[in-house]
Amino acid sequence: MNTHEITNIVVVGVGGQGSVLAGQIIARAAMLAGLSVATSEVHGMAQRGGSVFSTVRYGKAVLSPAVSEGTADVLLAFEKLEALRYLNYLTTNGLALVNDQRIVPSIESLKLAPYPDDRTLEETLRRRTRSAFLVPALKIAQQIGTPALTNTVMLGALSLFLDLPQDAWHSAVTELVPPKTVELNLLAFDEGLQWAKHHAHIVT
Amino acid sequence: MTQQSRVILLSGNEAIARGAWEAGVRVGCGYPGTPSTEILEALAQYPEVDCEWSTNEKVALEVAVGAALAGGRAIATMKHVGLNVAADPFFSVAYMGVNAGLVVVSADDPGMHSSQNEQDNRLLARAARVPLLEPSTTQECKDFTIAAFEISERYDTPVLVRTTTRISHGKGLVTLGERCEIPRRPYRKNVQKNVVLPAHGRLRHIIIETQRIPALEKEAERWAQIFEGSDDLAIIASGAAFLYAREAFPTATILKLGMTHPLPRELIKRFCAGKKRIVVLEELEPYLTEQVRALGITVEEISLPRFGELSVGLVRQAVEPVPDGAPPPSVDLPPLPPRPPILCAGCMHRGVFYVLKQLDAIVSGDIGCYTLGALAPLDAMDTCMNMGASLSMAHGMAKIFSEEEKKRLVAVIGDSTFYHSGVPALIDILYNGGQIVTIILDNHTTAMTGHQEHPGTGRTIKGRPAPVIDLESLARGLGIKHVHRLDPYDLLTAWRTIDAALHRPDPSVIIADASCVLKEKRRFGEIVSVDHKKCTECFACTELGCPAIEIQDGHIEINKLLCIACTHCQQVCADCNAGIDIPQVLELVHQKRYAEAFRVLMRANPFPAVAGRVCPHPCDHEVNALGWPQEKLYAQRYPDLVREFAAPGYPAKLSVRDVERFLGDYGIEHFSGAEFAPTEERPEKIAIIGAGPAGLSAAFYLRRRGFRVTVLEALEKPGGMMRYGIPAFRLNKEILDREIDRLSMMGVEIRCNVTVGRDVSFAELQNEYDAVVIAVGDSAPQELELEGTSEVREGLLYGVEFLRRINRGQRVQVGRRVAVIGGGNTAIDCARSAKRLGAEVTVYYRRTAQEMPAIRDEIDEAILEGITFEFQTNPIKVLAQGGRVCGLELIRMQPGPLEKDGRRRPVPIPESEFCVAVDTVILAIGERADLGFLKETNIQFAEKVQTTFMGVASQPGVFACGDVAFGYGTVTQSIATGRRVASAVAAYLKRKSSKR
Repeated sequence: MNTHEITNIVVVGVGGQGSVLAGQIIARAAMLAGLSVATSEVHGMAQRGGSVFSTVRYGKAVLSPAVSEGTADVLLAFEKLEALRYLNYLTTNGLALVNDQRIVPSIESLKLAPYPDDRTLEETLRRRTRSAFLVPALKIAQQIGTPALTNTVMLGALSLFLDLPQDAWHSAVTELVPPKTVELNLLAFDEGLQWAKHHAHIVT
Repeated sequence: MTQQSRVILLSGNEAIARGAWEAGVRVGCGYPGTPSTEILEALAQYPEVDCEWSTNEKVALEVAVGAALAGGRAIATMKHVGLNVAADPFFSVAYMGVNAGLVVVSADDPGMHSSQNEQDNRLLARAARVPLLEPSTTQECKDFTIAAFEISERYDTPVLVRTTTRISHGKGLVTLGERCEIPRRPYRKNVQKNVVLPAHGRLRHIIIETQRIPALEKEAERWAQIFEGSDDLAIIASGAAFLYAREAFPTATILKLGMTHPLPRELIKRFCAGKKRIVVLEELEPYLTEQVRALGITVEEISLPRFGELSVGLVRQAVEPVPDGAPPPSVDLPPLPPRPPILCAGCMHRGVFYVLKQLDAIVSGDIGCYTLGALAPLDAMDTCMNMGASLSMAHGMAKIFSEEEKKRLVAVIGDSTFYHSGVPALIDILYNGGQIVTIILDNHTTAMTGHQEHPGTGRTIKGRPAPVIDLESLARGLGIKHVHRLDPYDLLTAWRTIDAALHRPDPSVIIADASCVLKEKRRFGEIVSVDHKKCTECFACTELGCPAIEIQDGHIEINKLLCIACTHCQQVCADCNAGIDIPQVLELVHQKRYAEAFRVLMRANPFPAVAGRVCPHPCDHEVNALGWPQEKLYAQRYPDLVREFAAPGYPAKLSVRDVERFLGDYGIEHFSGAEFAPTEERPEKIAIIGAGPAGLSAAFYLRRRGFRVTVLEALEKPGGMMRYGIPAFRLNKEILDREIDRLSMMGVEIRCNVTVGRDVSFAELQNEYDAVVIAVGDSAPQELELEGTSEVREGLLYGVEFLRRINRGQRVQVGRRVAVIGGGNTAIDCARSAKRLGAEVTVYYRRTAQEMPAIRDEIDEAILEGITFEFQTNPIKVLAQGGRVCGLELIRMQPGPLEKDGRRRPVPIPESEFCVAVDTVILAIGERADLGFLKETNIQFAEKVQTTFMGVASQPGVFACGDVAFGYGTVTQSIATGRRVASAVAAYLKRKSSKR
């Protein structure tokens, strides 16, 4: 899918879901593939259960880590509401990989607007892109053993769509996840990839 | 290591640390602050560098200056606002000069990801006459830091390296080098330079302006880079703006400035000569633009915002909007709930802020995670300005405040912030006779920036043990007489401690002492769960704003993944139907502070005297819905109250409802409605349909906020079920009148005898009012398909109508033998009323005695009054003679299959029919809403008006509360929904007016 020189990825989720680590794994995989990489992430107050947004850009020569609206090739969302919030960062018909998980925001937030239902979510995604996938990553992770593997399942699915070699992915996962969990994470990664292979054949 | 270079991915902050290390830095100091924190954390990993978290940025820079003067390279790191704290030494050391290299790093935060302002510290460099380097890439972060040390030594000046969030937290590839050990420069006493007497300073300033700055201008040329391109567009940029410029305009000619103070003026002139279009791209202040223009160069006027971060898109749009290069238009998103940062589940700060809200405190706050206490629903902070300002600002407020305001005033500050700059303010308060209550939120870490050590943690940044600067001893040592330590997980003790301090004429220091739960990852005990049979859905627990407390389909649930069993919610829960803060009310009554207790009651329930008589008092539960042994605790804490307000028949049990009744009557005696009138008027008009408990409760809380409220009531007097449902023997209507009078005195307009749908249409109300609240209640009887009823003309009554007629004082006749069908409160009230009319009464109910939904006390009273109950019995036919009821055919029932609500559906026992002779049958099997007036509208309703848990209906500006939306069926729960809807209406109108 990638004809640009630079691939722009936006990783979104809820503080505490581990989206920063996921961004680092993508960046590391790109580096191992010999590419130039820039990332940006949010620290400090924004992490306290809030909405989290980070970027990864890789290619031949990447300068700025910033991705502006309408220019992301990939929206990797670990939570459904956050996928919608940042949907407009995605370029038309860019790839939206959305973990099929709801994390309901605080009661105070729900007083302002209800959590959108699944139909609204899917319809809105489709208005931006034909390549939107709801990945049952949480479910797959739970089947493997722990919900903590959700992000790696998502990365496995993502790897099908990016032009980075699988061994770079494997090395990046191995280097960056906690040492004791490497095997489980590699398994989760593979499960994610298999899911994508079975469900994403329509995408060109 | 070999000469072979290594390339790794580093953040800008890590690259700066690496650069400092490679440059042979000896000393690193700083104070944590996003986005700068990781610089010093990374630097501390290198054993060769003596690093410290200093108490504040001023101290950090002074330590670094000392180290540099003594001959070792030193670096001080801070966030942009930290440089304000360090501005004093920063400006002076520029005059003094350095010995070994001295670098100051300021990490600015355009876009304010985690800051209180977005000041542009390029201006500070210029004001202080300090050379300024601005890296654009991670590699440059490292290279410029190394260069900064060299420049510092060569020109005898401190050097400022300025980054922005994108540079600090952006990651990129960096080629690593080796550490270059720099020999220590000898220390020489030099009074002319290093003692800033005016006479010395004058000479130094002349040197700076005539020698150092001109020389640095030349140096700046070395750090400029020209990217050759088309002559059509010439761009000048630095820092992150350069990256955006380069990406947006890859073919343009770009002058990238590395040193932006002083500017390489000659180079800029040369670069601009002959260029058609000259554009300066920069974030925040027009710092470069103005200086380039001052050179006589024509810089094109472009519209870049002077606030927030830039992006490739913004830059492109500002310079050269290309239609085909423009990003695709945004798709419209549905309204999304925001997801702001929030205090963690189980955070200790929540306990303190909850208590401060209980006490209606005026809170002078400070900088840290705990600033989030300012957000709804805690709303427990009035001000937060800068590090350490909480104490001094409170001290200033107290100089102007009234005595009443002073009794509510507290300063709240985190532990690390207190060490940073709270201490001088505390001394000031003590010295100048201030009386401030200072609460130090001591979570034993610098939490917000990621758990850094500080003088109270007993560790240094290097992980070495350090003496603990004990807050309590510090405060006592200063001479504060009242120093208390409190456990923020014990809400009542916290309340007592803070309340006592507020009533004392001396300054006090309260240390709320518990570790940060995010750091300790602790769990206190068994995860909390909700007993749904007990939960009154008053939402009192949601006032804590804990992310582990959720509402699912209108019911409270505890998120087991988030809950750490801190017990805050268990202590707040009191199983009150109206959501009254019972723990605080009891404490105030115990202290005989009745007026205050009454005011607390009125925060949740404007009809305490009524509720104190008619509420089914679930607050009597031994253990509450969240598992807290409330009965035992009340008995332990308040033996005096148990004696005075013992539950009938239970001498050791406190009857909270009796306390409420006592306070309600106290309020009638001592408080007029004027007491609750709004302090400021708002222009918006609100119509409330129905003057029952829910509608009047909504009216009270909306009027209290200043809105113009009109209540429309179909019957001749307000009160709804309180007046027309509950018989006089349970509720004296004078009490009700007195409590409703309060609303009228506050300025609520109650129009009786107005039926919506007949006298005025719903659409007319929507036109005339800014919001409409539907609170018509369930006033129509539920009809029962019963054989034989069509032939009956006399002797068949419906419960609600029967009660309404009695309550209106109309003549009602019943026969000698009365059968009441139903098991709810209406059925019992009908039975007891019929009994009072002289009849022999039997209540027939299709389920078991235990399943009867009516209030237990009322059933007991009914039995005492001689009313007979037949359970598991259902009518099948009314027998009549000449149109007059003469009997009833019934059938026995037994429990059948389980239903959704967990109860067993009663099914008839075959061939168990039997007949009884009765003269009057009262059908009281339930009530329903009459929503005919909504038929012409688009509002969604079936049996009930469809709403969110806040009572927001399907059309903007339309709301519903009470039984017509929630169907709880008790006066007190309806009151709770009225209060809830009032806050939803207020939020809606606030949004609407802010859009205008």
